[in-house]
Amino acid sequence: MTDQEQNRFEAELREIKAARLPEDFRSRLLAAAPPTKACPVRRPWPAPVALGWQRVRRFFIPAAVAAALTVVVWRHGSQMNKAARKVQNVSPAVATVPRADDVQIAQDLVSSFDTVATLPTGEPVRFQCQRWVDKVTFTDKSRGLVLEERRPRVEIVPVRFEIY
Amino acid sequence: MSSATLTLRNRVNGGSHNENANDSEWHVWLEEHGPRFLLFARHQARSEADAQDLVQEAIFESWERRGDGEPPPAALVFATIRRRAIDLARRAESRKGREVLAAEDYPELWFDSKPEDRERDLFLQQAMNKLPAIYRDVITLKLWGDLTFAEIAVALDIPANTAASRYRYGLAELRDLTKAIFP
Repeated sequence: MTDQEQNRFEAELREIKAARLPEDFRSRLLAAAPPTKACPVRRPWPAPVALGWQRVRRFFIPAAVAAALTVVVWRHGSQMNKAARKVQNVSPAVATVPRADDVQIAQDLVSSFDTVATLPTGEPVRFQCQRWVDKVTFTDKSRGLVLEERRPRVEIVPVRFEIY
Repeated sequence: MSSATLTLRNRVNGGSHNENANDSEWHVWLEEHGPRFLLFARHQARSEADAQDLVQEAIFESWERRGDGEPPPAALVFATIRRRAIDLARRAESRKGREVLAAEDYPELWFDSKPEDRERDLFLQQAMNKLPAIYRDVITLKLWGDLTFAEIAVALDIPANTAASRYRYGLAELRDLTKAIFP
């Protein structure tokens, strides 16, 4: 198709108009008034401004977070240094490590009892349950220091019939 | 500034004495642009009811998006019609068969025909239906929507050069299909 033919064809097509709106549809549209300034809708930011803000948020918020973290870490580090300096300033007598004169390790049996359970096969099994307390006592007589740690422990041992 | 714009501004700033005139200007704007929107929407929708709903939603959504009470540019309304049509097609996927049947029985005439031109316009409508959608959209927006290629590019979300080439190819194909009525 030559340019001349195309122009003529376009002109012919343009002469044909789009059909008018159906009457019921036209009435429906006219009945619904378009929004006006009387009920203003919040205007969106112009695209360049919105994009600008997006860039600011994209780059500056992570940068701000990183800066805040750096400050926190730096302050925490400086506080640790201060504490270390304080410890160094404490008199050597206080700062020395305690020396153990006596360490006792004990196991006290608190209670012991047997119980019977049934396996899914119906076979009875007997268990021996024992409650223990493990105890460590640390003594530094030169300072009058006694440290004691107690840790409870439970032992459950199945008892076979042949053993029982 | 169009008369419709002036009228809408008057509606805001003026008193009730302007309302009748303003309404008539809104009518004028609708008379001028409504048929173009509906023609484009008919290409996008599978039924007349869907096409009318698309036009109504697109006009008022575009108007609100503009936010200053002035009528939206036609390109924005066309773009909104297209987006809403895509949404509608996704929603209506499950009732596809029924809609296709409805489309086959499409009773509406797309062009404003005098009785003596009705046969020609119906032939054109059928030829337009045979065109690939990518050509039909561009031709409709260019010839009956009065959009520039730059505006068509925005409305259809394609490069302007693509819009121009689709227009040329589509016009040539439409010409082949309508040789009987446009010798």
